[in-house]
Amino acid sequence: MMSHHLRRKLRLTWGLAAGLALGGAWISLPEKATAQTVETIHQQRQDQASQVHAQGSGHLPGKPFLDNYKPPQDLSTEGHRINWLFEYTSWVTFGFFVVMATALFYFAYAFRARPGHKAEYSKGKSFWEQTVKWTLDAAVFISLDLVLIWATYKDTAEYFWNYPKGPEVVKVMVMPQQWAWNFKYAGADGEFGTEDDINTINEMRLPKGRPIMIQMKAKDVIHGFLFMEARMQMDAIPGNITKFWFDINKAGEFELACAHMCGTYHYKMKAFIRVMEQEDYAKWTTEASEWSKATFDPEEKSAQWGWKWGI
Amino acid sequence: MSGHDVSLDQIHSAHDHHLHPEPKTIWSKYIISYDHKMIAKQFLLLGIFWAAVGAILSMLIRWAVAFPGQPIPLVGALLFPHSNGVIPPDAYSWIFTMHGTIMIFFAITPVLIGCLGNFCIPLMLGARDMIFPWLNMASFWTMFASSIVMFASFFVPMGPSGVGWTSYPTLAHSQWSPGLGHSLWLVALFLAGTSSLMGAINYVTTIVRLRAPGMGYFDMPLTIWGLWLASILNALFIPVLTAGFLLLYLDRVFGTKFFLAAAISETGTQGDPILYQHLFWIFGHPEVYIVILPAWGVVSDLLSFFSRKPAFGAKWTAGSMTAISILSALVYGHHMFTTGLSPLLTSAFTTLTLLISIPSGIFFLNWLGTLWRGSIQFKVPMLFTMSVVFTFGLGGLTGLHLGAVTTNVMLHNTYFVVGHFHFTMAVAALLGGYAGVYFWFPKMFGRMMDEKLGKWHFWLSVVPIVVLFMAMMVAGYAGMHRRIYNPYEYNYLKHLLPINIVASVSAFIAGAAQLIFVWNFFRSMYKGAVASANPWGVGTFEWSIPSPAPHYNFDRIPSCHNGPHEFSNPAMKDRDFIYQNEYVEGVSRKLEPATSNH
Repeated sequence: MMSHHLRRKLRLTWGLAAGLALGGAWISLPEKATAQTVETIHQQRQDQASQVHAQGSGHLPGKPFLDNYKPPQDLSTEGHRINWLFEYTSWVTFGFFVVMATALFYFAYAFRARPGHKAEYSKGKSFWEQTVKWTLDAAVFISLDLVLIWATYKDTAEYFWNYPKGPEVVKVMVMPQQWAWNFKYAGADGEFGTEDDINTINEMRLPKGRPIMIQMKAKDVIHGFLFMEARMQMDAIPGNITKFWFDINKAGEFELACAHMCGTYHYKMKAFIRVMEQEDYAKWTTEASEWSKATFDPEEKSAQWGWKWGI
Repeated sequence: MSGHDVSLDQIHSAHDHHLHPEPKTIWSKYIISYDHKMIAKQFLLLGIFWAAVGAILSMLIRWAVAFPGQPIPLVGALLFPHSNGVIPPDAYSWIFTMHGTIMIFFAITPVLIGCLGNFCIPLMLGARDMIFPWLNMASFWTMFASSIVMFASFFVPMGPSGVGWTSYPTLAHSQWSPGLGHSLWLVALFLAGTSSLMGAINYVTTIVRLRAPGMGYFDMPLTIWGLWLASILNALFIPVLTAGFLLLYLDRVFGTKFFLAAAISETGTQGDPILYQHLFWIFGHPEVYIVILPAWGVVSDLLSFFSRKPAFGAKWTAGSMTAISILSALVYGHHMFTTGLSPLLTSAFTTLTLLISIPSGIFFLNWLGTLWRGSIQFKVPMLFTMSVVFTFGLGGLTGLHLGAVTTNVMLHNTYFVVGHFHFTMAVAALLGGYAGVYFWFPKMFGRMMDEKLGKWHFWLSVVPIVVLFMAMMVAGYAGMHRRIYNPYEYNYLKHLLPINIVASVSAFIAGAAQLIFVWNFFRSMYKGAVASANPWGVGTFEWSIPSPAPHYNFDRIPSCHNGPHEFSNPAMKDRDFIYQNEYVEGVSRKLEPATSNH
């Protein structure tokens, strides 16, 4: 039994700790919750409730039923790696699942308790029992583990970390913030941090068929860059630069989603990715770069975000 | 039952420190109880309360996703009077945050570890109580304090925490989630972590020190193996998590900058929000196994008990669970593949993660092997047990998609992840918990739960639950990402409305079915058929004493002569099982003095 002395001490420690914690929490309340702030929150809620909510739709018209439950079409050069591995893993695991479920239901039926049926006294140590078990387990190892590890190594070396180099690479700096996407292009001089840098918000313009190299850093909280048509996702982190690349082989307008919980309006944090023909893109960058230079304002600090580009 | 029991006097000399008189007052019997069985019941009731809260929150989530912008029928105006019954986006954030937090730390953990652990460990080991009864009591009341803090956080201005159950900085910093809500969340989880640590130390020590004379580690039921391994993981990793929470609390409240990055903190300190993710997931991944290991143990035992057959390859099952526990500590990086970890790390974490499939395959095949040529009795605990095999199969296999970097890049943060982890740590753990509660209920309360209601509960839970999480995985594969209040803001997700409605309706059915359990549970406690000492015909220690288990469990400390799964042994003529503390000539081991712990 614990001594009374020790118990008194423990009680005191717990009391102090709880007091410190709760007291501290109270201090941390930034704007003391006045009736006014509570009223503001209620007002906001009423506004939110009265706004029009985006509505879902029925199944895609004119498309096979299963297309509803596939990701958007892959439009990148390397995204097939992800599609292939997903389908491979799905089919093989489905095969094992069918074996497993069949065994479960068949055994449940065949070995159900009934008059005249007795359980066999065996502990699974016989040669053939062991053989079946180890064969199946080895099959899992070879057909799933080895293939998945091999694919991951290969894709990591050949795609994810194999950054494109050369003049055709389009460099974009991305800085998400609550709840918007900032994009920055080097402009005509090819250097970041100069007067002709192009800034866009919530619209990322990209040329078709050229590798896009992205460096990204979050302004406030962690966000996630999720671009389904390129099968690409990367976190945006405050304080750390993340790097990745992809390309897109079809012109059009696509959606960029924030994949990481980033606050109340996380669900509205989307941007458009406008993929343009290469000539159109070149024309746009030239014009936008000139416009940036003409309107450059050194006092406008909020547009001069960025960091030293390096791979 | 056996000629080899150790006498009470002998035990007294060794165990005096944890014997205390039978409590007489309400206060000492029901409130500040030192009795592991009462503490188990306390944890169970606490867990059921929180599970109900968590389940209601999940219904709200499903309502918001399937019927965006529409007021909740009946109770909407009551819950959200300021938005005419519509769930507002800020409330949606705290609803899914609190759902995850409550289900993991306040529902599954208290039921599977707090209740089953407390109830089963001393009884199945042949001990009179936990080795540290005071610590056991403190563990519950710390959890209770944690519950109060968590409950209080619902009523503070600006609402409870709404940053996701992972509580990632910098969103979790006071600049981006102001108010008391998240601070109280951290305090509550710090207390819950402390409670778990107390429990873990108690469980591990009890299992090592208080096994009955003659009981080797492989004579322990696999339930105890699961609880033991879960407790070891808890003892190792809960402190890391609580340390992380403490640092985050200091950041929030006292202005330190452990997790605030240089670029955005005013003083230019080198805090790092990713450091928090390491601290969180080095606990977070083992946590998946902490909640599922006890369920695996229960399943491994119950499959044998209700197939009337020895557990197939029981040593290998125990070994596989041990291997998985070790691996679980080495794979957490797969939660962070998209944070820009180096290729060396991502490849290593992929490899280690996928290796888990080998021991998993072993015990999975052992489960099926146990059913093979058994004589399966479809009692309610067995139905739940078999559903764990099915759902864990689904959850385990879909883990492979997420373990490989290539596919993880697309699937990370989507509903595919949500569906996957619900199959493993929610569905399989929950159904395993139900199996355990239905199975040990007679020993806890001396009455049987109703079989018929149990079967209704089973089918109305399992079928919709499988549909629900399958639908989630499909929606996730189609691109729907997590934690979004209104998915239809995105054009490429608009057509997922029908499958989301299917998922939500399934969730509502499954949610309503839990009311059957609640009714059955509380009614059976008072009105159920009186249970015999051994209603299931099982040979582990707890079934050799009366139901409900008397104060101090065992009149004489039993000694262990057999394994826990001696069913259908041809040496037995009159019944098909052998008690662990029974000596059968030619089958059982004699108790060698050298093997005794006492």
